[in-house]
Amino acid sequence: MAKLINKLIIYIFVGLAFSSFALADDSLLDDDALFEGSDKDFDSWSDDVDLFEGNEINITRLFPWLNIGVAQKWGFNPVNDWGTTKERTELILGTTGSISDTGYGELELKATKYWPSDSYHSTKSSNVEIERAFLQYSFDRWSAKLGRYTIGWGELEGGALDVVNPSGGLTDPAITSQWLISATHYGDESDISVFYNPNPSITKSALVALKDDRHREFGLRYGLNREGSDMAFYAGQLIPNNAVTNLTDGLAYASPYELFGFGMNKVFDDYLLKFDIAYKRNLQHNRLGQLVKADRVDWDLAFDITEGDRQWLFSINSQYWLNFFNDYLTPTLLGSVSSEKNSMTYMANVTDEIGETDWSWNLSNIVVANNDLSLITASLDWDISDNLNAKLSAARVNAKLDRAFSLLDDYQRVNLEVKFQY
Amino acid sequence: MNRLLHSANYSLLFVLISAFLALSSLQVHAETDLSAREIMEKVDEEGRKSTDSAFTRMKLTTCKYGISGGKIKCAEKARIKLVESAQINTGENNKDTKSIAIILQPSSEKGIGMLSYSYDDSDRDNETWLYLSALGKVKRISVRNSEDEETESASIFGTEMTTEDQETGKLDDYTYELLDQGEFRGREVAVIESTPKPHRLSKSSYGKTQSWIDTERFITLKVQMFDKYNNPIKKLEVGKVEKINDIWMGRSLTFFNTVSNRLTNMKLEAINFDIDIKEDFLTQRALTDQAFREKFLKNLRKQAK
Repeated sequence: MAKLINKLIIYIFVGLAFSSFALADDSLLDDDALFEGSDKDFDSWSDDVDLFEGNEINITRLFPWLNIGVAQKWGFNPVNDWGTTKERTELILGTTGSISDTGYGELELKATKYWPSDSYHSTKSSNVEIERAFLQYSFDRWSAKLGRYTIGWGELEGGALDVVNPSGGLTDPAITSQWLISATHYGDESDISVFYNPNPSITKSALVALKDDRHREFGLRYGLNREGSDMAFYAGQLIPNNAVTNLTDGLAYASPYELFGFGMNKVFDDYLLKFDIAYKRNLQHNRLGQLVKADRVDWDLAFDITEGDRQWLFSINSQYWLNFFNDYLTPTLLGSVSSEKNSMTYMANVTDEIGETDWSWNLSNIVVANNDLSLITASLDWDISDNLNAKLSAARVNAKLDRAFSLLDDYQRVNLEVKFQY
Repeated sequence: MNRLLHSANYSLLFVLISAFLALSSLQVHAETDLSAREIMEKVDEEGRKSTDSAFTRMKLTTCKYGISGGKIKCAEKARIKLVESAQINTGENNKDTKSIAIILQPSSEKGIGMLSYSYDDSDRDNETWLYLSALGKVKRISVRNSEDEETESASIFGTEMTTEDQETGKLDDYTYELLDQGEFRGREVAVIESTPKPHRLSKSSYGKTQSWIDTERFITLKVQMFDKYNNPIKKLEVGKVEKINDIWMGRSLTFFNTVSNRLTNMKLEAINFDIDIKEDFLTQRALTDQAFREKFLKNLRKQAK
């Protein structure tokens, strides 16, 4: 019997040994090291792990309907002994929300205080403006929007079709909102929208008077959404965002022109291709001794590449005058220069995070109008918290002295902005 | 002779007992006869149940982490995003998904929306659009398909989650190997290694992933992601597993980027299934037409109560 018991014990051990042999490679089922390949020793993971150590962050806001932003901005000119060019404080108050069952509204007001060292202070010490204010109503397949807002046409920001809202120019590309009325009909894979702008904003030199600003602009966009690609057709009567100075009478003109365009994007492997083309009819342009209306074809081609947090944007933009004459002239602050039949602009832009920190950077180079001007900008962003952000940026311009942007040659700025949002 | 037979019978009995013990001991840890591929199909199927006609409110908390007292802790003030999301399954056999996620907080990002279409078919690339209110337009996002082995997919709202992490389907794009089976955190699991096929590898940030699958509930408890040089780079830990509306799911998902030592915890604060979400809502219109969006969201919130 003892032999039998011994045998049983032996067989049990053999059995267990076989069993443990079958499960010899059980490291995958261990849970004592959370991160293999790491020299750090962690406890096992469980539902009780409290990553935030009981400090559950309260995200309930005191006035959830109110958005508050305060920004302090400084600008310095390195060329002029780092003199202050910008020193202003901005207070932004905004609210958003539903109005009845079918409506929605947004309001954002910005009050700016220009301090004595700010270059704007000589003309005004403070300013209050409506940044955004609109009401939108949606019924079945229709939507209507009324108020001050932006409409983005085309694929490339600032490209051939992005002509509805003006931007602050090369050194301040922020888009300015305008008072607009628009309506959109949504189909299954398409949408058609129309807009009307009763009072287009026109940028011009303070030294010249605007001859006629009674024109209105309106436009139509028909969009088609396809798998892997979106496309849209555009037509409209638009007003140039920048008035043209008539070299003959010294007045600024902003007569309407007609636009017919097409824009599309398409995903190709690891990048997004963007393409816009616009035929612009009756654009005002200077010839020797007269202001004429001429036609132009504008197009742009851009590649958007996303590699993790790094984003690249490369673009080419062309403005090609049809029926070009050698006496075409482009006005400058000091007179005029000859125009070129085809004006090319190239841009390269890269944005990335610094390691895995709260810092990010941006670098861009824009070569404008067949290399008449080259602008390099660099910026460093620090997201200090969900509510606080700081940005340091620098810009430098090199321009040909005998061309349209000569006054911008050696333009340099260093800007610092600190913004709090709640 | 009888003794021999007797002895032989005893020997046979002991061999059988030993084999039984061995097998029963194995049986404790290995319950499933399913192949690795079949397990992943079931996981995919269960995953679809947990996302179909679902309306969720989630809190995404991101921070750099460290170790304190042997415990993982946020080493800095965490960044928090409150996001509402709606999702439906669609397409052939309901194997494609359409979803929209809208940021409610922080206020600096309020209203940013992301629309995603995820296709089961390997030949169809997933699509993503973002709405940027400052530009007044919808932007299509190029989902990473680069062959550059060092780069990652696009991050979702600046978190450690990427567009690739939220992909569903495309099971044919991978080969599966059952690495192990046994008990893990009190559950019977199968550890399955998914290796992207060559055409998929060029579009993926990961050289392979290992998933710890609960073989009873067919949900993932843990995922270890490796780069293309076989280095562990990221890990997903699933916690707070609950049965909601007869569907097992984790209410707390934590993504650890073990290279950057950053984590994102996705906590499902509210989840509602069988919500009537119209496919019309999951279109670009929901990004640009705020009145339309708010009307639908109000309706979804009402259904969710």
